[in-house]
Amino acid sequence: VQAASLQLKRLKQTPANRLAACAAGGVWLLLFSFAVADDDGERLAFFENKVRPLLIKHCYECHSHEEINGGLVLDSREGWSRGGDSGPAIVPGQPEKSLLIKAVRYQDADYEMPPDGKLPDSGIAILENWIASGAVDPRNETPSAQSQTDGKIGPVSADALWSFQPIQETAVPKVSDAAWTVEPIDAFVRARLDELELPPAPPAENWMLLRRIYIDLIGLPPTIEQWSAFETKCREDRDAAVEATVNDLLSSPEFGQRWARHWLDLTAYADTIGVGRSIPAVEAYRYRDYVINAFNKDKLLPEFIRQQIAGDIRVPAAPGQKESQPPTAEDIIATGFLAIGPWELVSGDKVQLRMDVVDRQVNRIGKAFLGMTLECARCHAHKFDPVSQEDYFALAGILRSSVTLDGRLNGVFSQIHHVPLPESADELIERAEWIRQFETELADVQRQVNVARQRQKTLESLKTQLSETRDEPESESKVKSTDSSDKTLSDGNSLDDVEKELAEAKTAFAEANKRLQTLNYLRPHRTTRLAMAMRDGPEPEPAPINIRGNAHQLGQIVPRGFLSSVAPKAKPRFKIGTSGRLDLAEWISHPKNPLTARVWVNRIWHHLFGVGLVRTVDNFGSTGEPPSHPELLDYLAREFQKDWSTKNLIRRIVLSRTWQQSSINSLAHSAGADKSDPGNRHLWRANRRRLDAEVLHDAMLLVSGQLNLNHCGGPSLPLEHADNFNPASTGIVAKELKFPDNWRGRRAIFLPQQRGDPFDEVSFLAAFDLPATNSETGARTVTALPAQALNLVNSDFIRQQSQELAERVAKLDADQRIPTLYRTVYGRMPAEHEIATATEFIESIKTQLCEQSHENPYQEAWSRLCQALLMSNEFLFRT
Amino acid sequence: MLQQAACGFGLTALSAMLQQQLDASEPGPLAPRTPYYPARAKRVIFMFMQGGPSQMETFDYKPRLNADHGKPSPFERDERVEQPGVSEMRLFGSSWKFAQYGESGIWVSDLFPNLAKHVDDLCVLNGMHTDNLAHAPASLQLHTGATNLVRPSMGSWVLYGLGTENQNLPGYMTIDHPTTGDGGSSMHFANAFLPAYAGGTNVLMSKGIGAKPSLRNLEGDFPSSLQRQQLDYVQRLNEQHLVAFGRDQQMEGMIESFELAFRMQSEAPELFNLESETDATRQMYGIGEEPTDFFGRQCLLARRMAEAGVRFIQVNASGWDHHGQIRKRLPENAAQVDLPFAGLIQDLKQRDLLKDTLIVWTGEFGRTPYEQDLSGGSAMMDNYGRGHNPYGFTTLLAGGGVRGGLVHGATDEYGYRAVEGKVHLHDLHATMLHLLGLDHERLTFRHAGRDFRLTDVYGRVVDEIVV
Repeated sequence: VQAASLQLKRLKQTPANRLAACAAGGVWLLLFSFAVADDDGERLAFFENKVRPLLIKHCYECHSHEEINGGLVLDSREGWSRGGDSGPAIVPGQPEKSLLIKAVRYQDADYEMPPDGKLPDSGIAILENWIASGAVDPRNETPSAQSQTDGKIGPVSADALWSFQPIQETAVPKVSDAAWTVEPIDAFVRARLDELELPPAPPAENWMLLRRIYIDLIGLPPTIEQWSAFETKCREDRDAAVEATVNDLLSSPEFGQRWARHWLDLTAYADTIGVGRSIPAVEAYRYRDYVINAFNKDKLLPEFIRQQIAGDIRVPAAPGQKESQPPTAEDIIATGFLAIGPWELVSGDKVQLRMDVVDRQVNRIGKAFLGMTLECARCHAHKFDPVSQEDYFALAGILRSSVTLDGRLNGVFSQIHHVPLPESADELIERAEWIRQFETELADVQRQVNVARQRQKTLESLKTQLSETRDEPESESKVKSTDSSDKTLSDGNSLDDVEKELAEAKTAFAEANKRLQTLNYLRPHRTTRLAMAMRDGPEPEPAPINIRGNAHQLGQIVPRGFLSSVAPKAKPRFKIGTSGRLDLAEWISHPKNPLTARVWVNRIWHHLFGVGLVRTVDNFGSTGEPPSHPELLDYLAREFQKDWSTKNLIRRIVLSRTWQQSSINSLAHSAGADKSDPGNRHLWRANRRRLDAEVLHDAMLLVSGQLNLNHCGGPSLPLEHADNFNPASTGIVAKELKFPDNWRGRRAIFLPQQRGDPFDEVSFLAAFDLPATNSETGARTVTALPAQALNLVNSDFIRQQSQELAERVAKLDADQRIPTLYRTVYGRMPAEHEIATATEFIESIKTQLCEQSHENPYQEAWSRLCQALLMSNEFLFRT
Repeated sequence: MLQQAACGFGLTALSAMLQQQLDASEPGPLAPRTPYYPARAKRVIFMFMQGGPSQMETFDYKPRLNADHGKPSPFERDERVEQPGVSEMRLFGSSWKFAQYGESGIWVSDLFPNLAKHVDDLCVLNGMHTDNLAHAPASLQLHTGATNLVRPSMGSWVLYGLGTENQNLPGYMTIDHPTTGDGGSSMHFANAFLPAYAGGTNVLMSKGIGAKPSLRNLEGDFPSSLQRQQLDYVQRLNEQHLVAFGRDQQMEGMIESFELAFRMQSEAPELFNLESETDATRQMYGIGEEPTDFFGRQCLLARRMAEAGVRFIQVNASGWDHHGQIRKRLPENAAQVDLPFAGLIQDLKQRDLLKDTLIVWTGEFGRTPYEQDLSGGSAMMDNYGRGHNPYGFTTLLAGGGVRGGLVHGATDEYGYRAVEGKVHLHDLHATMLHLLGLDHERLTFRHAGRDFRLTDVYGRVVDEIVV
């Protein structure tokens, strides 16, 4: 310290620094007016000898152009004067105002630098003196690496990004074989194939096509009856039969049950809330049922968007309408899109929690509707896409002006906002009956608790009495004769008997009491129709920039708004007094917004082809992939904007020749397409893919005869069952759940979804790439792992379905068994050699089981044959 | 090819075809890979002490805290954070004596008498710190680096970076991982957006002497020979199907995964057979006795996995969350872990495995030097506990290129905040990868448009502790 001070003693203040120091206040002037360099040479020497080595040793590792942490570089003068995420690091002449000094002094827990240990005091003094004397720094060279670009949009400009361009009018191309194109989609695809001189695949055979239609549209394979009906109709007119089938399926309730699941993947839907403790999301199922219903009713996309983002906000009266309509129950439930977690309710830092919720909502909206990854812009300007940090916080301000978490569940645990739903007269009457039943039950359980408590008390006192008696044997008769009030209990009872009874009474009390607690926990849900939903806050609250995503380090406040580089660019005018979510929804579904229709059309395409025209379905930014058929994507987007009908879009695609191609490698394959285009980007055949987890589950139930299509909605968690739920504190759902009998065999979409570790009931699905419930994704991964094989070999689920299937088959005449099995599982008749090998397999297994004195070798052998078919690729794949 | 199929294309031909494909393309994703630079450690045994053990009562000796027991603490309260049961923040001393052990003279409390004998093999990080003070986010961060986002776990990154040495066993296993409750989650060992092969497998093991480890669906009720027959039949169906369609990566993947599962079914039960160990070995881990049996079996299984070529192994001891009754409950937790941990070090050493096996022992955070009373004021001092403390805690390292007999870093005189030789969780992750021969800044995976890494934009290799 001394050396440094000595060296600086003769330094003199430069005019500029004097000015700065004056502005800062007299104290600094007094302290440092003497400590300024005589001439630049001396100050330079001080920098070179003291400051530069210190910066290199302690700071460069993280703050140089080699490595930029916190946006700050300290290897050039420009670096520290521009500063990092938190602003300039050094104010020349003013150590006290310099963040660098605060950081090295460890004054603020958020900025302790260097992080691995405080500098010695002498080191801090060197930096203080250097800054006080004007922070002379000769390092004017700017190293080449790019620095942070806060406040600016990322390197790719909006003009250069294809997805930000207006949707083009595209002419349907002319193709070599006009007869092949039944639909403009085919013309776009065929034109590309012509260009590449690749022939399309022949049409899929009936067995392949029908299974594909069923699986893609309703997530179930066809039954034998459905096969026969289709084949009969095909004999008259195949195209008509296909169209009729497609229309039937599109209007069946199973359609929504399949397609809702695709959407739920993008909403991080689950029936529990946080990532830690398994707190039930009691009302989440209403949102799931809403989504199913939305697909079944073919809700038009703008309405689907409005309801989910802003359903709770009153829509102003349209021209010709007298007054605005209040939100319906459905409108409110739809906002579950934003409201249902995953939220870290236990977080003690509620300011950060609130911002984390907003962050998640911004990302979800960005990904699901716009195909944009916005999360990067939370901490800095988006490095790749035309999204600035201001854009991000403009959107965040809209969500911040809304309420998601409200009040407390218990202690430090926050609670999701619940909204009582508007009810019809009938629903009111129905609910009055619920309440009556609920209150009756509650009173009854309360009575049981009282009785049990009383009994426990009585037995306890009796036990005390008897123990005392035992201790004093001579007075036994005395006790008996004087205390005859509890004769029934005490007479002839040994202490052991009483203890046994007491233990029983304690159990009875605990059970009744738990039941009482459970009812009290569930009371609001069982006596009111509630939804986990959004509401607007008392007034709009634009969000300040959170520096590096930290909710406690705030920058400037950003007015609410939308993505500034996406048209329509008109400055948003928010409906007065609202959060702005309704305006956001309108902006998203505005026909001039180039992202929404493209993203949606591409998602539908992805689910029908297994791959999107844009393969990165959730990323239409510069790091995503451009479309394989840009004109086709724009054509479909424009067509879709004409009616916004998802069902019409699906129908068009499914009825196209393109979609109906065979998936077998054929002509194009021999023409070398498998080498030139192994990923089939040009669609020279249909794609094959493994069934999704839910389809696999439901298909197994269907073929085993156990599928229960009557269960089609309602609560996911049977919390009333004593083993399923611990009502103490926040309430915790058990991992292994017991379900009512009439829920058995329900479709996978109705199984309860857990955040984190899947419920046992769902473990079969989880093995087959069920996406994590904590993340939003529009495209599932498909893996082939031993865990799947082990599930197919040994899991209870497949064993049960195989046995049921075997029992179904066993009822048939012997020569009908294998053909029926093939038709049930594969949807086709077996060839002669297939019947022979299957028979051989049965016989061989049966014989060996007999040798091992298996109790039911015949049935077991059949069950193993059924299982083998369910394990085989022909069943596991949609072709 | 279709013609061949009609003539009966045997299983051998199918395997030959698959083999050819395997040869032609790159080696499988799990094939062992050479790290970026010479690795000190080949594998990791990670010991998760769920709940957050107290540093002041175990490895961070704070005489001043004991001297000032009962006095108001000098720390400023963090008003941004709710802390139930903490009103006056009075200092709360350790109830256990510390002594110096080994040639290094490292201080260890009476709670770890067995581990204390191996102190010259331990590297004690007393300057640890992390970001969150609730269990779920903090333990998620411990495993994945992120407090509230879906990120791959550290074991998945290691598997992604290095592959695994035994192709018949999962390369990343965690034993009885806490998956429920405030500190548990299967996200701790999930691959998130990394390829699925990098995901961790949770080995089920129950408490109770003699209970055997198992994997879900590993064993069925069908004798192995019959199962092989069934599998051959399935593969025959698959072969015909594949030949009809032509090459298909996914279909071939399913075919291969059945074979791997079958091999796993024969290899895993052998791995899990702890009975095959000698009595002397079992005693070393405290197996067959309480309170050490459960953790002892975990540690012994971990050693067997290490020998079998498993890349990332995790053992778990829950229940360190001592908000109350720390004087009664902490010794119970310590006693469960002390002997098995010591046994593991000794056993690895005698098999010459310690030199390339990195052991990490840590909670998701530490505890406060001030008292906590969740009883609402009714409890006696003896029933007090300590709150969560992310600002300072202790992590132990051993083996795998780490300097033994070293204390690195320190908290302030009361044990509250790390002040010297600070090591953030990100730094710990960076250092673990470094010891495995991986560069935490180069081990990246492109997802959703950007390159992700275990340490996000943070992390510094703690060179001071590397041999």
